[in-house]
Amino acid sequence: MESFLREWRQDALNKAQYESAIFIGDKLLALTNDDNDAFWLAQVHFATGNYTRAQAFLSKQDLISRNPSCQYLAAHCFIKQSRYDEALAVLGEGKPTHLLLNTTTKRKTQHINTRSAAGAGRGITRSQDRRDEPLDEETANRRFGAAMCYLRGICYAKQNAFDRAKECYKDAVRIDVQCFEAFQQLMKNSLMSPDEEWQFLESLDFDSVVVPGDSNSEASEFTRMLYTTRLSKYRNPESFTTACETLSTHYNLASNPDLLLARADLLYTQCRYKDALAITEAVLEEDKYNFSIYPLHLACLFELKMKNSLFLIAHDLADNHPEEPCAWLAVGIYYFAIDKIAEARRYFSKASMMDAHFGPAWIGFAHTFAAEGEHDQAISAYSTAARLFMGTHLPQVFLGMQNHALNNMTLADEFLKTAYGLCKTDPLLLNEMGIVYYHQDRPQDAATLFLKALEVAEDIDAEPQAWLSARTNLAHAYRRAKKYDDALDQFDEVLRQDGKDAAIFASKGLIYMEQGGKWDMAVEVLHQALAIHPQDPIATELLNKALEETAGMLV
Amino acid sequence: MSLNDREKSQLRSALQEAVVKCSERCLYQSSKWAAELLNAIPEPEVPLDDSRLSEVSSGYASTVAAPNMDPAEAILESNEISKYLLAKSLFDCREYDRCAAVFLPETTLTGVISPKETNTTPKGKGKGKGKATTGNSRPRNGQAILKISQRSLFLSLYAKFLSGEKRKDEDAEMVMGPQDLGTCRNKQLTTINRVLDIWFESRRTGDGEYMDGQGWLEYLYGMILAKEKNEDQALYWLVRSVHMFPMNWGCWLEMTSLITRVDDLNRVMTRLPQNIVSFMFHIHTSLELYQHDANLANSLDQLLNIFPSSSFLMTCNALLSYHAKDLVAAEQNFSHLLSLHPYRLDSLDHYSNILYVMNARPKLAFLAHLCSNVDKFRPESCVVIGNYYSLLSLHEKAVQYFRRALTLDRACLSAWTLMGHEYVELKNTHAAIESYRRAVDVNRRDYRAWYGLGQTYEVLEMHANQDGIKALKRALLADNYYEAGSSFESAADSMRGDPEILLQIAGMYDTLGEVEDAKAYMEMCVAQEVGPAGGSQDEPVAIHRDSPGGGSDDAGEGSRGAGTEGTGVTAATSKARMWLARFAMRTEDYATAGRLANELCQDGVEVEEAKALIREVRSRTESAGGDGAARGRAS
Repeated sequence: MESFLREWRQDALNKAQYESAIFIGDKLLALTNDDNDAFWLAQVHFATGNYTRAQAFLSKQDLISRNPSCQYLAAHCFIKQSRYDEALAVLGEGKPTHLLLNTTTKRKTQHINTRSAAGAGRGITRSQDRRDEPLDEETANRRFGAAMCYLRGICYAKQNAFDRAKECYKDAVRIDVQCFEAFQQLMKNSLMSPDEEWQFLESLDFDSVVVPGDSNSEASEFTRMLYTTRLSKYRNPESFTTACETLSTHYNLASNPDLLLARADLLYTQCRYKDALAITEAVLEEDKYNFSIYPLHLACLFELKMKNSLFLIAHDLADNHPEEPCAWLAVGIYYFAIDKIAEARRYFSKASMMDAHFGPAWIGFAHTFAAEGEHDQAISAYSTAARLFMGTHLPQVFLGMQNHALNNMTLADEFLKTAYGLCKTDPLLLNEMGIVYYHQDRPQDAATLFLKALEVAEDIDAEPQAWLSARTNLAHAYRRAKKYDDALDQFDEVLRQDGKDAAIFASKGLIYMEQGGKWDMAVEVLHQALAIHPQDPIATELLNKALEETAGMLV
Repeated sequence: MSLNDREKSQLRSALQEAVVKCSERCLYQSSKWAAELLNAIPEPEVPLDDSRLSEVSSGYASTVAAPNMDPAEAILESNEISKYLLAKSLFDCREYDRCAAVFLPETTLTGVISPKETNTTPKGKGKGKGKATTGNSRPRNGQAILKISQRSLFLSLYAKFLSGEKRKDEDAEMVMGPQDLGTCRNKQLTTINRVLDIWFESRRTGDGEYMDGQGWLEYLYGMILAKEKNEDQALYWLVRSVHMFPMNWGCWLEMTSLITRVDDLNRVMTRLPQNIVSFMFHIHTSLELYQHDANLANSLDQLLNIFPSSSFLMTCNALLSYHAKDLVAAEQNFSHLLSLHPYRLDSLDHYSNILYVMNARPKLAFLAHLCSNVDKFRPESCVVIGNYYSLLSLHEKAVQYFRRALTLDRACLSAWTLMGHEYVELKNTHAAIESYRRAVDVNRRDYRAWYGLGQTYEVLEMHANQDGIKALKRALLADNYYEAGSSFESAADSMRGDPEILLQIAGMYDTLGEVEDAKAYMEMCVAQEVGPAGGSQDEPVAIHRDSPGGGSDDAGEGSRGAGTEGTGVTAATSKARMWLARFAMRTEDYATAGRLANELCQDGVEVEEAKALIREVRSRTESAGGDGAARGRAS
């Protein structure tokens, strides 16, 4: 009878027929008065969105103190009602050290276990079977322990205590490596710096992923690779690509959106926007409302100035999914792309209001201030972003840029160095650092950095178009360092790569003039500059001077 | 219908030949069409085997230069190859007059034309100079024409034709400006006509039959005749042309524009060669005649099997859905097409119409931007942008863009019609009527233009109501006739009218005070809800029976045909029903009034007014002590 009712209830729950699940669950509980049945009934209430009811039910039976699963559910109910303090009270503040300690001991036993399993065949499997029962109980408790850690993390995050949240998430993953929810929170908001991420990954106990009957650690290796693809792409590209390749060749996940997203992300950080866009488009073709891919897709479209597509996507998302912050991010990006800064700001802020942890929206919000030259406000917005996303270097870079624009060279230097600590291989960052040096009158150091930036760009195979500015800066640095020939070479290279700009011709003119005696060539180049931009003040002035000199020579 | 490999390769080489030949004759659009189709045939998977590869490439190489099968022509062509190349280059540079003069200098032409004394039309600048060479020069010059290969003759005459067209457009100046009175003519037509006359005359064999040419000159002759509205003869020559060279799509298009009715099409089909192109022609023309039925969809599917990625056929498919008023499917088809061919502007104006009707502003904006990015100065782009502005209610700007489209191509039908709509919005009825008239002039089949014309006459009201009724009936006919025509083969299908148009006609009769006619049309309009075959209810049939003879040529056909389903309740039918209910009140037919008002209540349209009517009916009948009220309540 009971098992029949249980089956019925479970079946109804699977079909999301909550009415019948509640009905049956209620009767079942009356029959058995079992804790487990009570938990399941509360679970059904939770699933229907009756958080208070589930809550009341759990507390009435005094289940919270007795059963970890009920404790978890109760806390979850509080969180759903945005009552974080109470949730924390239910969860308890303490770190579940016993579980953490347990991990290590358990890992040891398992190591022994697997090692001996390699030696002897059948006897061990039986012993495992025997051990399974208490293990089940234990794993379930561990799972709930991890899940509670995760909930604690959410509470802290909502209370803006990110350090503690991060610790909680990390604990959760450490206790149970399969607690992807927590891992996702860590990665999505890049709470850790790239180094920290790799260390953390190393410290994780993938061996605990055991599939019965699978003696070699395929499952654990698989999980590790899956997690690897989600880490920051700057630090360890080789292991990322190997993980990617193995997953796509061995497990047929080549066209899995998550893997494709990881690859597109990598391409984006390498400034290969078109390639990244091709991938994101392919993903969206399959699954049009895959929201995890949209921030990247939108960023690519923005970089490639595809305003028209942005317009269509923004409209589509805002019409069909107004509840998603992504939709308003799209609208904001569209307005930003067409230089309607005020509207862009409104929508970015709307997106960030909907989800306070939505990084792209914060960065966009800050960009709108930066675009209007409101450096102070931009700095405060970037600071928020930096506080929220400790793992990415981008907010730091932007902070550096803003301070640079305010002529606070030392502060800018500080920020950029922090960013450099987070990510050593971003050519953009190297470029910015070079610029700061340049403005601090250290052309030699600046030139080294620019060279490094170009080198890195070459390494990651970025489009040459993207590094024109670095090259231009390099040429300027050479000029300041009085290496005129090198400077001219670099300028010519820039011109060859289609960086036609009045300023470049003007600089060339300046070099010819500084080299002394090459007035004719200077005059010619300066005329070219004025042909591109007739009102260029620097070129005009230089031209006047050059013409005077040549006239003087004629006399 | 599927082809085996050998047939496929035959088709492929035929298309390759067509591309080469069309581009040799500077028929760019036809050559584009053939090339698109050629690339839509899926390539066979050739195993990378060297011997096989070389064999294949040798097989294809021969088609790149299309040799002439006729030895005499081949000799002529090889003799004049350098002159031909010059002419073709000049044509490619759009120097049409110079191109024509390479083979047909003015002296030759005047020699050909001037002996004919009856020639009264002014014929260009050559006349004065030509005086010296008249007289006995005619046979010599006739010879001169014959000494040119058909290819070169075609190229020269075609260049002449285009130069005339160009000049005509330039003379007309601004679209709908003071000079644009429709009096400008292509002054080269007569010249070309004469030359071709002579040429064909010289090829006439003893028994009055023409020697077979290669199809190109026949095509040109047909085109010229069509321009002079000599349509039967034009059709004769065009049919000859497609018999000789079926892959010239331009020729088929000319035929399409000559066919205005489905039975015309069916008549022509019997005279055509049976091949894949004529199959396509049938589909395309049926679509131009606003057909949509299962047969058509079926044949289209078969063709899509052969050419799975053909953009032309995909467009046809989308238009088919559009004509079947399945806007969502049409939209999807077009957007799929657009994603496959993002730079293809052809027939995107239809897409913009669909989006306009669906009120999909973002998509339309996207499309407008896309078009203007690809090419701002294509008539299609301008129509799309005009539609977008119209949706934003910026009617002046919309008119400006439609005008621009017409400047680019005066035969752009949709631009004329849409410009008419815009002028209606701007309350410039005279300009609107002018635009609609032009649209109808370009293409008599466009029921939208007829409808607009009728509506505008209605707005003008004064003398024009009779005209309006006539125009609307034309619209009904244009819309209807072809639907009736589709039942030509399948009697199950029947014609039905657009309730909107019927309502409008009825309204006009009403304002004219011809109440009986108005009533008949109103009833017809309501009858569209169930379609003519809703025979289980006797009501629509009854209505048809008592509709008077005046307007019943449509209605009669409608009731006779066994039908598919009707339109369902629409705003128009509800309005008609309301009118009928009121009319019944006026004529004290309370039972009918009550019934109609009840129906209105059930449909949930204008419930308040309908209820008021019911109350009134009740009070009247109660005062009369009738049983009509009881019936009204019971229903």
